[in-house]
Amino acid sequence: MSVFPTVCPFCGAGCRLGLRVEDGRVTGLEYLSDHPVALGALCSKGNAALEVLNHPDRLRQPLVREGNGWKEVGWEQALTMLASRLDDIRQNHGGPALAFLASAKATNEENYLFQKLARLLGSPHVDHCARLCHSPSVVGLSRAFGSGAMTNPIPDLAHSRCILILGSNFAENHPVVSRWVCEAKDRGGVVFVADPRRTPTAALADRYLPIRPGTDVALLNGMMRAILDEGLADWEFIRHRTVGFEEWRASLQGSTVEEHAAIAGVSPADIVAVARAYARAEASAIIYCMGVTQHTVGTDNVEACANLALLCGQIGRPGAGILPLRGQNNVQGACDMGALAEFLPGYAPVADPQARRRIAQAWGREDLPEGPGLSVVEIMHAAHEGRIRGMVVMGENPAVSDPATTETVAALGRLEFLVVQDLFLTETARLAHLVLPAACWAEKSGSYTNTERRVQWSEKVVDPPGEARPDLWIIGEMGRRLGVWGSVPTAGETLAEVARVVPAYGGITAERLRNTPAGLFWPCPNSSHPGTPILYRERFNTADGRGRFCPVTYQMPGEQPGAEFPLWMTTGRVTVHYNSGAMTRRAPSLSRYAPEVWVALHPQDTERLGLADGDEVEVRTPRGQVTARVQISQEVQPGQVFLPFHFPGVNTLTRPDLDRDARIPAYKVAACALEKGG
Amino acid sequence: MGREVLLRPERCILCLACEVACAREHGSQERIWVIHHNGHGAPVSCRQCQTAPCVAVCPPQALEQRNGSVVLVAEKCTGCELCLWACPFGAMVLDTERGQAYKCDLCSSRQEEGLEPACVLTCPSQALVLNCVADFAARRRDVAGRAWAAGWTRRGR
Repeated sequence: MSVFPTVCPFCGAGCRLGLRVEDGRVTGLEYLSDHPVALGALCSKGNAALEVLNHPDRLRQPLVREGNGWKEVGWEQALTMLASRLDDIRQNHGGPALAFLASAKATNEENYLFQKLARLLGSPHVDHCARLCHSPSVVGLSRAFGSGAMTNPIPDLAHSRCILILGSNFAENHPVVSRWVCEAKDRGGVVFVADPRRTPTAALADRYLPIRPGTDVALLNGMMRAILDEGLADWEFIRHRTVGFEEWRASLQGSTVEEHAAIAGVSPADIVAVARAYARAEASAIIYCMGVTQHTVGTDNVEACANLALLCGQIGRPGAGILPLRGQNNVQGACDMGALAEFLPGYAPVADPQARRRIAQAWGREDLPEGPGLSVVEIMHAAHEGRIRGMVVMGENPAVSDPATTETVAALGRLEFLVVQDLFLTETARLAHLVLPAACWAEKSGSYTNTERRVQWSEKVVDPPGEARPDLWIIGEMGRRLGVWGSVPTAGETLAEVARVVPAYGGITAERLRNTPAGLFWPCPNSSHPGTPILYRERFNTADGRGRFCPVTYQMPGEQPGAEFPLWMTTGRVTVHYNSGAMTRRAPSLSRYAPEVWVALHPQDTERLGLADGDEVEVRTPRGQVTARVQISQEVQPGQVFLPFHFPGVNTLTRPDLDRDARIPAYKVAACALEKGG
Repeated sequence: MGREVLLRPERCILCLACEVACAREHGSQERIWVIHHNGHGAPVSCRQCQTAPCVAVCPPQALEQRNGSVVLVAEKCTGCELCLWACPFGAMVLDTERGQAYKCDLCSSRQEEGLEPACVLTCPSQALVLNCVADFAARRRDVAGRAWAAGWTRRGR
């Protein structure tokens, strides 16, 4: 009996997960202590991975919709149908009538091939769930630094003397990050958490700031106002390494710390204390996540974080940087591979003809579809209006994850042809005309890029169940049958092409990754380059090599509590569940802790509304309503409620209003009403 | 003194990994429970007491002190539940189907393979550690002393 290392399929920490294999079956799980981030640890979800891998619900055969049920078919029939239906739509309505949702869970090779297929079929509409979570990071940090990724590795946090955590609940969602924050604390570092919700992450803080929903810009601008007032800016850094300071400073002119504090709902003294600590520390890090990005001002929020780091020179050194914690095991990779509406592989902008043609030529074409293409929510809109007629969904569950999901479900129902490839018959798969059974992480080989830009290889350990196949094969067959390419490439061949097309992956091959269990940090431009754990040590990735200040002013959230909907509503995650719950709601050792949806309310509100713990209530927003059980909680502020979005229906409540630049929906802020009775 | 499962309570993030890992390793019968209140908490499991009340009270002497830990010899257990009463931590529970008590066994079957307890290996924040108390305390002193010294010598910018 042997133990084989794999990369955990859940979050972007990319922990190593050892699998015990006996007679071609995974029979157990083991902790492998040589992983640099996790050091062998696994969170509750990783510990339950076998319940997902071996679940009886695993799709084993392609399924064709027949009336209200399904008919099992073979691959030949399934793929013939798939090719002919997609080709029909392409011939009669053009490539742009097709849309493609890539998967933040699939490998780099699979995502690369998927977006290549979409574009070679003539569609610019390829996107994926990164749109819904960190698209502001990609857009905002690109504007400020020239690249949208996390700047320092997770273990590097141990070297931080001050850690500012904004809208991140890593204690529940990236638990291994906690070890490194605690290491920093053991070495005398100070930790601040700003979040409307007092999460388990806030329990690690030396000072917790319960900011009002949607006021991150006020908090950050207040901090920067205080830093300017007290002369704590890093003038050397500003002079030599940045551009745009004067224009940015003018945007803060005339405002006071008190004004910003009043908007944020915290005391001026708190803002000043955090600002001083951040500016003065030898090395300060900012950790942020959905609380910063999932707003109509998500890009603004990200740019405000970047401004703060540039103002204080807290970037480009050990312990000093900006750490947007990417959610999915391969969302970073899916973005790097260009599975985004505005980016080709390596973040080559679709709208830049030169960049587009360079990639086109690598693919044997003159040009590729112009763009940017439509993003996730826009794709659903277009499907509803009949402009998108066919869709390929790989390993995503928009029927649960999209905002205002009532519209998404209606849109998917309007499609002439919807094909879904997944592990389970998810809520989205149930709407499809054709469902294809996919292999999971342990059943295929490929590379994954975690939130640190660390590219790791995960080798196949067991065969998939029944007729399930790796997405790479499925996409390869699609392309072959649609006349896009001649044969299905291997993962190694695909990664080799990626290395030719994406400069940052230039030195990354399957062979090298297999020999480097700790992974390689991109940029890794050639075979002798060791990789780049810390970004911007000498220069930023911008044209002039300087970091850019981006003036940002506070804007009120587009939806606020009022007469009809008097409460703030926010949604988020809990530790035992994962995103749409397609995996974790099927894992008994996890779902036992949270089998059904609830709404968390502060005791002041439950008393005022006459509600007891466990009462059934209707939660209503302008977009829909959901039945949930009351959970009295000290985590939320009075006047604010929280729902976990891991359950179908919760996202029927959230807003499809998009950030202007990153096109992310404003999940974190809505107004709701609560009524007793189910 | 042998190595025990020890806790740094300030690191517990209530993630439940230890419970889930323990349950998997023990046929869905976890022997560690994360107790939480108001955002803080701690996992509770057998303290392997040096003068164990459960050992003292067990009528068939199914519990014994062995190599610094408390071992339950299941074959002798009559399911009388006195050890449940005696344990001040609630770390002993009853398997109602088999009619026998059970508690943290320091993952004895893993130990046979030279592996450490699952809860310790899995803990994402390294709140749970496997160590002897002397070394554990020495490390705590080291961290505390360094932090104080660093604070005294730190210069602001």
